[in-house]
Amino acid sequence: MKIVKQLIILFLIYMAADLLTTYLSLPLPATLISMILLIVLLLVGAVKEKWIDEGSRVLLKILPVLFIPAGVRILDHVSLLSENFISLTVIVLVTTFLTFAVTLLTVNALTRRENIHGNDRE
Amino acid sequence: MEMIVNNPVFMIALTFLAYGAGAWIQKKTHWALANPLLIGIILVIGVVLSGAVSLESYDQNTQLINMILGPATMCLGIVVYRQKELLKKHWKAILIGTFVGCVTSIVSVIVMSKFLGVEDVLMVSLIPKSVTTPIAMDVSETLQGIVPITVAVVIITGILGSVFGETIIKLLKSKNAIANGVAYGTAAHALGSAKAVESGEVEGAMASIALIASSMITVLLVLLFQLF
Repeated sequence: MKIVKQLIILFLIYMAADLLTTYLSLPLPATLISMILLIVLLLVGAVKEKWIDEGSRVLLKILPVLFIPAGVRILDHVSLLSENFISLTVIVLVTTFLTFAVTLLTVNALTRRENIHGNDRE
Repeated sequence: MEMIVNNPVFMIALTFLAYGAGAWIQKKTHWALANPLLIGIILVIGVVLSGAVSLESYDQNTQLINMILGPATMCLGIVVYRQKELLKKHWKAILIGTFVGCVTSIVSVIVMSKFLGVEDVLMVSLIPKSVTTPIAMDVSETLQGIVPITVAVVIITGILGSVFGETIIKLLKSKNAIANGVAYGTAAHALGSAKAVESGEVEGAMASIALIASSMITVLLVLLFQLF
């Protein structure tokens, strides 16, 4: 039952963030507000990591799957996209690669002195 | 047949099955292009195009997935919390990196669009392509872009970032988990963050904080852009 309890806690925090976003007309979407709220609750100790560790592990594990319906919905816009297919493809490819590479190189240059390899799980 | 197909259980099972097939193909081939998310989307699109299920029905019956997407993305917050020491130590590099990435994204879209002679209305629809969907929609609307194009391009950008991120990292020989993570979050928003979480705890945390920061920075940059 632990996992069920943890999922309930997580959903309640998300609902609180959703309400906050709506009633305070915050300029960021509920998803980002909920991330910030969760970080704050953990930092001040109002929510303990062990109350949500299992639940969040499960949700994070399936997170990529949850983007599939949004990806499938691109079908809706095929006619709009196909009008400028070649230029759109070139722009999106080049700018995404460029943004990724420039960000990577900037942070690399700024943190060069320390060697950060991370703690890969695999 | 209609009754078996047109219900949430079938559609959600189809979604997970498509992703599972993608994960299996990636495990067998180890190709960067064999990304489970990309293969999953292509397989479901294939099923829709085959006529077995309609797009409307798939959309309606996967509402549950959309409902869980918010809380699941929220869980990236716990990944950030676990790396709070590293964040405290490197916050300047992370923030500057995210800022430089946002500027690169916006400027490169403008330059490429002008270069290729793309209409302005299309160009402004592409400007927020690296931030999370709801923010991108807001920005596109403010700039009088075509919101559906923005939505599609944001998703495509996220897919590209998560499919080719590893390739770019290898090409640039980066072994820096902080830099790799910030790049995923800045260039490919939540989809990139989901991919970064799979690469490691540090990558995941950095991508998630970059996801939040890049959204805020992009909104501010667009406000500034409008003033001039």
